[in-house]
Amino acid sequence: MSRKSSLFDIFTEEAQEIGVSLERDLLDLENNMGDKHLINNIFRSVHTLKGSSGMVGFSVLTSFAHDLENVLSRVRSEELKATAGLITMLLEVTDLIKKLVSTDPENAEDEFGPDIRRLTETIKKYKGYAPESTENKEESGLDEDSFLEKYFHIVLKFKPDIFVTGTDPLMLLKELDSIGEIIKVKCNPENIPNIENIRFEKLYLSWELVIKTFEPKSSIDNIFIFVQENNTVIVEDVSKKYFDGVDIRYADKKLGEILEEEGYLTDSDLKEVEDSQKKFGEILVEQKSLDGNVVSKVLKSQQKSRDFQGSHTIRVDTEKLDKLVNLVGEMVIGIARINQLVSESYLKDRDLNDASEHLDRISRDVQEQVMKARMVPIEGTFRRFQRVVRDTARELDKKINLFMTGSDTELDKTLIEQIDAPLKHLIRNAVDHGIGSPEDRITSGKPVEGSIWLRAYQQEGKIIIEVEDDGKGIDKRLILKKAREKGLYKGGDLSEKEIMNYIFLPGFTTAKSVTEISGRGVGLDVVRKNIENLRGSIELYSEPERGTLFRIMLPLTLAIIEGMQVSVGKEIITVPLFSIVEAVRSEENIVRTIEDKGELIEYRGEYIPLIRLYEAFRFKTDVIDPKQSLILILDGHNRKIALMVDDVIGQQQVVIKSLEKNYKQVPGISGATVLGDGRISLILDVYGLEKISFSHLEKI
Amino acid sequence: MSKTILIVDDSATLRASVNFVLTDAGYEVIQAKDGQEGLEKLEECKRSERKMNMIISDINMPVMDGITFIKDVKKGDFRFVPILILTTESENAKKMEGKAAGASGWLVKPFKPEQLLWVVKKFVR
Repeated sequence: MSRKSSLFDIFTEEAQEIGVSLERDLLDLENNMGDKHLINNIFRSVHTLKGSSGMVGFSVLTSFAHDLENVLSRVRSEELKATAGLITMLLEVTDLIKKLVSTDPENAEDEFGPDIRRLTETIKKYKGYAPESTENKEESGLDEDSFLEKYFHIVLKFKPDIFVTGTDPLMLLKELDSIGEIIKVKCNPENIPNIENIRFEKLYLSWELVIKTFEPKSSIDNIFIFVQENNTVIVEDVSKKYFDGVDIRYADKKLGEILEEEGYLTDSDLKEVEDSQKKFGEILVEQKSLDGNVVSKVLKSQQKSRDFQGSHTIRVDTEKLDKLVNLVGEMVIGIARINQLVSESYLKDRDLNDASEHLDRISRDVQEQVMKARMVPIEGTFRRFQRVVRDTARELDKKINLFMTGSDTELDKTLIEQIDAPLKHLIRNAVDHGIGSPEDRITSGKPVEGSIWLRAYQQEGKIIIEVEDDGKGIDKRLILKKAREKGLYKGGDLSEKEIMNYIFLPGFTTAKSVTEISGRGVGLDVVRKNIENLRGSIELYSEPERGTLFRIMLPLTLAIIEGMQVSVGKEIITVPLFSIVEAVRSEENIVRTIEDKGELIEYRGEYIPLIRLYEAFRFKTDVIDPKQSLILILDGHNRKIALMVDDVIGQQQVVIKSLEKNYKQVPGISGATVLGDGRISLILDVYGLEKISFSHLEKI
Repeated sequence: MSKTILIVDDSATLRASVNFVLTDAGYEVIQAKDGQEGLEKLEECKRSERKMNMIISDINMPVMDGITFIKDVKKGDFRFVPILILTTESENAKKMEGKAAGASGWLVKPFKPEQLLWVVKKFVR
């Protein structure tokens, strides 16, 4: 934890977490009205918030939470029923709380005063007439009854010849120890005679002790029941002396006064307390006024670099992490290079080889762990969508259930941040256009309540996120009609995928009317663009009356890719492995030229467009005969494309270096990397390449 | 040797406040976020033969609430350790319940550092 962290930071973080869980529980409660467990959780969240905000002196929030707590306590005791209206109110309150905790408490009133008052009024309506209890307002208590523990002062003076009766005082003391804790013991050696007079069968010691116990006085008396005669055993209840009347309100009084009032403290007690008074004095002088606000300020000044014990997480600046990721990437490349040198070296030293391979493995593990540090579960994003679905559905008078799976799937933090907007768009789309009105649904013989599924999972080194609805679906004929109207469709047979592809084009919509919800000028083209910027892709599957499924595929990380290195002339190009379907080499001529379509190759019964890489990038190469080249089958925009290169060189992980930052953006190239042998390789951007190669032929 | 105090509360803010105040006053503070974790910390102390001088516990906590926690403590090796419960004014009934379970006193949230120190000094000698 950085030194800058303060109590207030801890509070803010905690309060934000509370806000998130409040929202989640409220939304869950809406689906399970009356779920006791959830109501309890909600109550506790508010309760904790009240306590915590009180500790940092955020009084606006404390009193707000207090009122809220009263309402919730009525819900908890089933005096008040949890209704949709109440939940809507509580969600609104949660939003305000979230806003409040991210403001400076001093400005809270100015910024949110009206909101707070309005909501407090609403809350009060629900609160009923729960009178503020004035009784039991004491701030703390240590009164007589609150102590089940008793303190006994025991004086033990045994007869010198006690051993003769077969009684061992040690056993008695041990027995005493077993019923409580002996907190003070004094052994009096005064009666020990001079050594020449000591008789081993005599007892010269006496004891004075204080025991803290839950047992009643009678238990102690029972221990000494056999020695009470002829011995001095005095058992006195001194609980009062130890704890009586320690009312915390005394804290504001001077200690001296209290001591005088009570007047029962022994000398040593007095001294002890005087010592502590000195410390109090210091504290008081330092702080003068002593409310929580001051406390947090004082604590800020106090916390040199104190570790926050008990916390299992630390916050690290993402910039630091990024730097680390980059450095580790460089290290991996460096080590790969050493590894390569060693294996090529004439030394052929086996030990050196082993050591270098070992280092290589470890560096990859380090890299993996560092990458993991950047990974965050997508849960937070998903949770927010729950709210989006709920609010949007209510606005449109639709009933929609959102089902989420795989919310523990971890993604790179940057990916999570960037995927938020496109996903939100898809979800709003599903609520608005996908799911029909309740009447429509009944007519189509579907349940009134629509369903939206949000899924996340990892597959084949990619992160897949799906948004599916059981709504109206998209009619292919409608898309084709629209495409024709816009002059995009030029005839010919199109695969289902190709037809669906039109929907991602700018300005393309089949929606009859632009609505409040999703008609905001941001189309699916922007969604696709955002996803492609993340080196991901999006697919669409839909069937009329059955529903629509959007599938987003994302790379696991943005900084490193597994790539295949291919050569074109003197150049080495890295092709992202996740784009490669297959590499083929054919002795036969499989290339066909079709007018308006350019070159195609036949691949497993379908014709797919061919790109000669040397042509696309104007590289010089001697290999121009497809029969002598290597042809890579790649996943393009919802279709396959073939890429002709000279040969394959190898496969390795590469760290992506941005070209934009160091040079400028180049279409078809997503970046550059340094290979193990120190050579530079450009990283291919498959979609970009597809765009520049076919833009003159067709619109995609 | 410094005295050890266990603070059990689900609120990170509260734990941090108690930690700041008490460590500054020279106490050793162990933190737990609920009763379950509190018991685990006590178990750890037992294994490392560490002495516990006081327990401060919230009542309303997830996983294991304060009352259950206190009852469990009172069954174990640390049954003689004084327990202070943290309540809010609205929790009067809980206060009594805590007392019955074996708590030695209570402190109402929010409290000031000197209030906390005052009570702690009464308990830890």
